[in-house]
Amino acid sequence: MSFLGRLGNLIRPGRLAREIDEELAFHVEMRAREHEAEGLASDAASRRAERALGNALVLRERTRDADTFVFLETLVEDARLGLRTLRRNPGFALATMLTLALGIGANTAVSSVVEAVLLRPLPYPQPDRLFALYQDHEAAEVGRTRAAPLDFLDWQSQNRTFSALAAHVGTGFNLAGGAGDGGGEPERVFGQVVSAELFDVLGVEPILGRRFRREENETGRDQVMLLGHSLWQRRFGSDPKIVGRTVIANDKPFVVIGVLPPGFSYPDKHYELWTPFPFRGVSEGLPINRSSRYLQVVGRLKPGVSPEQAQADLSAVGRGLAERFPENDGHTGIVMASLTEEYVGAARPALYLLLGAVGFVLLVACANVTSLQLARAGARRNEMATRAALGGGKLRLVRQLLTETLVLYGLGALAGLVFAQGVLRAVQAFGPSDLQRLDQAALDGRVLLFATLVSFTAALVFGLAPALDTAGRAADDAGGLAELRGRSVTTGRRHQRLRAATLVAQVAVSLVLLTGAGLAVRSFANLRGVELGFDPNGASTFDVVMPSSRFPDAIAMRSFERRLLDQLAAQPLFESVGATTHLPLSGQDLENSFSIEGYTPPAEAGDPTASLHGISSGYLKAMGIPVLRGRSFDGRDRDGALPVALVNQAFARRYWPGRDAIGRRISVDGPEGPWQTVVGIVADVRHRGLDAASKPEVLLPYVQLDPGFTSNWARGISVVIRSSAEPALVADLARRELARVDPTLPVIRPRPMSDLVADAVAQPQFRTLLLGSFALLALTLAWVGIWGATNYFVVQRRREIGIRMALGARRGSVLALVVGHNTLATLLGIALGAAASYALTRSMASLLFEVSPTDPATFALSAALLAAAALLAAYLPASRAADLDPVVALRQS
Amino acid sequence: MSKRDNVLQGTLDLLVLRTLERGPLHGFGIAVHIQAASGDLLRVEEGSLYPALHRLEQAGLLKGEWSESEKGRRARVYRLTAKGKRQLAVEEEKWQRLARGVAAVLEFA
Repeated sequence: MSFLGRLGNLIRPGRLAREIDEELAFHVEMRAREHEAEGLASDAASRRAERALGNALVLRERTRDADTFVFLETLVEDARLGLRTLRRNPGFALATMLTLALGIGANTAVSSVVEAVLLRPLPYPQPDRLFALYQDHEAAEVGRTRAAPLDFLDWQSQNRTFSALAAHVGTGFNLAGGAGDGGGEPERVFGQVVSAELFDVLGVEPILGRRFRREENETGRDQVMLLGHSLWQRRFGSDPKIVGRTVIANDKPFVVIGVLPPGFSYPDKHYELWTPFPFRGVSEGLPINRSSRYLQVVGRLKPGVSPEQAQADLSAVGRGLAERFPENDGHTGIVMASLTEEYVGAARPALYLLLGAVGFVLLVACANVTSLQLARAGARRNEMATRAALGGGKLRLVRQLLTETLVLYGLGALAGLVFAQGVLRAVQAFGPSDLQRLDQAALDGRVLLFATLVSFTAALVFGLAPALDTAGRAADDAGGLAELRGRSVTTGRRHQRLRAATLVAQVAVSLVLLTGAGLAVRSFANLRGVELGFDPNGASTFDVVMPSSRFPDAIAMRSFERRLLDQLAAQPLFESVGATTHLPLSGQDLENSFSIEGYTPPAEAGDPTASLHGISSGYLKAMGIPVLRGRSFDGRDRDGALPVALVNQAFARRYWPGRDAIGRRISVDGPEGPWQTVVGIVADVRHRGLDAASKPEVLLPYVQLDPGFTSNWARGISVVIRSSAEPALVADLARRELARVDPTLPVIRPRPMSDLVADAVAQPQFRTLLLGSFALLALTLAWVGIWGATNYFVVQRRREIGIRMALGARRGSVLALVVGHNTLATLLGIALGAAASYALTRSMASLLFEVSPTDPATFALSAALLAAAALLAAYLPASRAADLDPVVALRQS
Repeated sequence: MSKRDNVLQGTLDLLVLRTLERGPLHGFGIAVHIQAASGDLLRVEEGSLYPALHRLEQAGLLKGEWSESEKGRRARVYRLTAKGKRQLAVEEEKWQRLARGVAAVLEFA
């Protein structure tokens, strides 16, 4: 009955109000009659009777409260009360709101990055059905590679589990300026050469025109082009009649057949145009064979087919190819991996680490608020006791206090959103440019929902303990008698324990963050300290691409390279000039197998492989790569002269350990030769990244590279210029000199070498910086927490301290008393924090470079730092306490 | 009622329940009885009485019904339910124990 009755009362409030009015009116009437009987005039009697009942309105409401679900009404009431209380304590409100804003804001910013980079589905229909396919090599050091064109065609025709399979490879296009091309400047645009099925796989329809047709994957019919939306807008002014127009790219005419929808990009936003891959027929630039593995393969699973079934089918296809083409495909198979995983997987460990870190920051922030609330509970004892005495039940008080906390967290969250927006802007502006989709991060619905949930949960979890504590004490205080039962003492003890536990948690969590950040900083310092093998300071670089239409063969290309380098070398501001086919840290590399004279590798291992780069004679000097033994290339090493090679230390150590490499012969073209004589050993260069150990490397003179190789693989070269001039000036001069040699070619991506180094460390720098900031934030919050706790202790014990001093206690003993009070909690926090760090830092092992996740020095240093901070935080209030005038202290209390 | 934390409220509840054990009564009657029975020592805070009555009713300890009073006035009359009787026993026992405890302390002091 009670439940239904209350529900009914909630639905029919009017009737309830009338009944209560009638009941109270009856009471007043009876009481008034009594007063009349005692001799009062009738109106005076009524007034007195009403006064005895108190404020009629309040009474009616309180009576009604007993009869309805007043939860919602009370909530609003409590929230209003909470706001009022906060307004009356601006210091407390500001401190807690700021603390929460930092904690919630950091969480919101990082979770928005996680949402955009990791959680958001790829922008294609049913992205979980998309998979990347690779050739998988038994030799562990090779692992998985891209696919060769003929192998891809077999995968495509033989598999039974993909509705479509497509291949693609990225390349650059020089868009010519001037007439017939929208009149724009010459521009370098990144594009993809693709099989026609790519847009079927991705499920994307052009907004203008059509997709590629299969027959367009054939030489002679492949001069068609799809434009990305951004390129169409930027370069062609969103021309609605673009379809059918001819665009000159890499000196060849392409007919535009369509424009892709806005926001579409594949594989990432750098690519803005797509042309067909000429699988069939004679291709002039791209080798069509089973040994050149340069195609990325992507497929969409047929409906109803599981990834396991597809993998089994692919494995069968792979076994068949390995049998039919043992020379190229022996000891290889086919593996697939979720495209989403390929796309975002690499960023996951670092981002989850950061998410964990901001979670910890929030814990410290909430603990701070809790201890502030506990401290204030002392000051609010009278207020609370009064409320309890006026009939506020304990549950009611708890609810009111919780609502207050919710209001506090709500305001903190609002301020946190402003902070989060700022952090996100900064992260997007200064974050690593190779973190995919970072630019798409925003405080959108999902992120806001998450922030709300986090704040709400935190408010309930961290608000409950102080609310119960405060309400419990209030009830005891109001009870008065309770003290006789000794309850005040127990609640007092509970209160102390709660404060100590909060402190322990804060110290422990801060230490975990500090240790994690310490490890990241050491790792980053190690990374910055690695021997690069070249000198980036004073070196600048730019790329040049020689299109096959203007440079049909290797002879033309070599001649152009020679003229360009001579022209640049004549520039007085340039100290040295060189060029390479594969610049360190540019992401460009080439693995090639080779033979060593007089050495037969074990049959199952296959030929050894090494990186193969072509360089000009001035390259080593311009890059500052030391020649350790023998000589560098020079004018002698021309086409037709004795074939020569340089190897790096890693190569010499691996294949001729303890023996002299100079004068030995290798062949990069197989055991039939021609054989290259090693004339020198160069330093190991960090080619693939600062954290990647140098692999064996072979350098050949650009002019001695195999002509077929040159025209297939070495059309793009990176020019390196060493100069004391400003990089911008170097780029301008380079542009002028290039135009003098060939006015149609653009200078591509001119930049100082130091930029490549900076890019190579951008991600570790980003996470180290963020992790460090979060750790400092947590440390600051914990510091404030300890300071506040000690301060509270001093205020509470002011009288006791005064008495001690009046009785002759020395300054030192007062200091010891106050500082010692929180020492146990701090030490316990440090011990727990160190143990938690030991368990947690392992999860960041993959992100650390040459430092163990349990590095003792970092652990010790972090603990010492925290202990020192804690000591200082306790010392400041202690020293103030020790300076107290005992007379003043005693009089005040 | 299990709100042992609030002595004042708990005491008022006890007095109301005890009063109604004698028979159904309206709010005014309850107030008058408590005052009279305690020899004017206890005065019920009239502002607290009606919320308490409604709360006890919602808790199922009392049942309130409208009826004609002796003077032909409609009055809301409360009577003790079975649950209320059991609760009264519990509250009385609790009070006795507390009173004995307090008395002991007072004597000792």
